[in-house]
Amino acid sequence: MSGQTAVILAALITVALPILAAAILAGGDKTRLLYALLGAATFLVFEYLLRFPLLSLLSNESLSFILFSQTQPVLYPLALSLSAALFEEGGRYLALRFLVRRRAFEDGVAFGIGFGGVESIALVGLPLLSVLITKEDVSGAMVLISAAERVFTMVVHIAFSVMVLRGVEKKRVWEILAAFTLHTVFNFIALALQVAGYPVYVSELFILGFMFFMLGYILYVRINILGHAEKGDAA
Amino acid sequence: MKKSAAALLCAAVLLTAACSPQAFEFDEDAAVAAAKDVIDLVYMLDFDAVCALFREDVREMVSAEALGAAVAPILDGAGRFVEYTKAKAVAYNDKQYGEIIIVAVQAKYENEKLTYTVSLGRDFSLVGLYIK
Repeated sequence: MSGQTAVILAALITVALPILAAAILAGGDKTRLLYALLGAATFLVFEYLLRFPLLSLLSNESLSFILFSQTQPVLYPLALSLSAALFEEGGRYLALRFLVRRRAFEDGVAFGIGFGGVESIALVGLPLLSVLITKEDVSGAMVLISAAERVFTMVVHIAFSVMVLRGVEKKRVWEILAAFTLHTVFNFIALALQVAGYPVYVSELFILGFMFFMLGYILYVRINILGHAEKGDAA
Repeated sequence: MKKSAAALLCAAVLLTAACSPQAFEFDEDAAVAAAKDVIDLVYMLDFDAVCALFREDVREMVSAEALGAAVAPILDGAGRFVEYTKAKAVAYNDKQYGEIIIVAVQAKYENEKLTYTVSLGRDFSLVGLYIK
């Protein structure tokens, strides 16, 4: 497959897929569509307006931070992972706690599609569109791998959104802490594999494995809810 | 209570690790001065002199032409040198380059601030140079 064909396919996956997924899930339900947009806004506010500028300020202005990044091959990825989990899960908690009034399973999924979808569009989709316009020469395989990674992480974001939503709805702090901890561990291992110099497919395989783990959680919650509904009907 | 203690313990472990002692003793002032000497040569676009400062095992991997092509455009945009604003150095045991001193120096230019990361051997021979 040529580089440009791969770019077109990857742009479709990373831009059109999340939009399509949100539209299909929402159907005619405007509230659910709003929650998908709220998920997108939460990512943009907590990453693009808060965390990225903060990291950029630190890496431009703080010599201690620059030296820390150069001399701490374990602690530096850990600090980055902790900050990502703190800002993303913190943002998710605040939005789901104070802005989301209806907390059905599908509402959490819609929020997660928006959250992961806008990340996919911003981090890979838009840069790929600029590659398409400039006709830059790129590796087709790498482009498709990065697109696949966005699909995997979108599923992970859906799972984290469902986890935090359940934590908020059922007032279970451990579920919110579990999302924070799993997010930190997920980011740290993926980053550490890259820093340690493993081939890119190793970290992608890890992300794929983690996606299946989180997909299992989503299915478990869904089946659990259906089970409770059936018991309710039988009673 | 247990949860708070665990969180505090984690924070303490991270802080202790982050503030761990230097990998080896070195003269920080001398290291910063050596790094500034390198930066001065870079500013004068004397890339042959910069290459001559590289440690022997690294020198064969760099050339004055390649260095100039990478660095000159950055300095063109920065404008006239004004002053060094801050500097800091740490000792580090690198897997590839052995015992090195990493010096971060921030320099103010007419149009922008640049941060140099200069890696030096224990004898202050140049091992690496990065400009942001």
